[in-house]
Amino acid sequence: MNENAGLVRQAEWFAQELENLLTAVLGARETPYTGVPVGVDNRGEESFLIRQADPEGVPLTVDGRPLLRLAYRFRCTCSNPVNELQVEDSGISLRAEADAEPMFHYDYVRSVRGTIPAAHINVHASNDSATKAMLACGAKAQGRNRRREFVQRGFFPTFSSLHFPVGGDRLRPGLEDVLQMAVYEFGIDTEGGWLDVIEESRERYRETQLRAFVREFPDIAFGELRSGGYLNGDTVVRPERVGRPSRLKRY
Amino acid sequence: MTEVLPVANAHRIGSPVMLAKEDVADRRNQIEAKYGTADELRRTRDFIGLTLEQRIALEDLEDLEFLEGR
Repeated sequence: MNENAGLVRQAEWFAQELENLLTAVLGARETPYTGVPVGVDNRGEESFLIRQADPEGVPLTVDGRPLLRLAYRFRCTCSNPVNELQVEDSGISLRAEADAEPMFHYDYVRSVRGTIPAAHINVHASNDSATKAMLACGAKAQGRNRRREFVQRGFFPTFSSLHFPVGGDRLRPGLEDVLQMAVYEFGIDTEGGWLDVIEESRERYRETQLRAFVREFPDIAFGELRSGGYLNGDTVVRPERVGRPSRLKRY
Repeated sequence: MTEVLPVANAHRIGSPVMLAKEDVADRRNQIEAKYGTADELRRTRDFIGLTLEQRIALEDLEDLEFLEGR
């Protein structure tokens, strides 16, 4: 039996999850939102690419007319002992229909090099103050390196090259957040019940991250449970939060 | 991860397509023949920016780099 058969199915299910989310939020259409995953077996280590089907991005419409394009890609591997597919790096971006450059992109890099935060956002905008500050770092390496890049390669530091940290590995934004932002900020067309779908998907994602946190930090989880008096019985009942939205669902 | 079935009206995505090394190399060669290498595209991006086609080509090349384990 191929020990990695599970990874192939996991990649398929992950892609299906994305398709289900987009269909429920944006509506059904003739062609899929998500492309069939592509994989390579590198001597027993499999890698998978899951992204939107249309290279130009998923059209997000307002009153039926395309306003934005949503792009997402998840590059996945498995390097953990429990044979679970994990995201090695990912990108979610929005761009205006008429522009080649994205407005912003949320990126995640598991094995980050240098000083870039694992989960970050790049915003494609102009900000003269930021650019001046990026060049005027004095004798620090950042300033020297940028000035050298400009002189040698003509690369002018731009606001979009700044990496703004967003939540680290476990608390990074997901596709649900970008979709909800597109609804709230740009009024994109949606299906009825879209918010419930997004909140349920977000809740599943955050629950997965929470479980991972507990596995990684059982001492903290145990301490909290003990101080909350939860360790005396056989079961734990989640406390009610009357009038307060679940933090697993909240935007 | 538990099995995920298509919800109402959603397309079924299906099993991944597994590429051989030769397939990846062919795809890269096709893209590079038209748009240049990933490094060349990155230099163009940093210098003057990319067209949408060039941006897509760079993303595709970076995807292929990932699939190859580079």
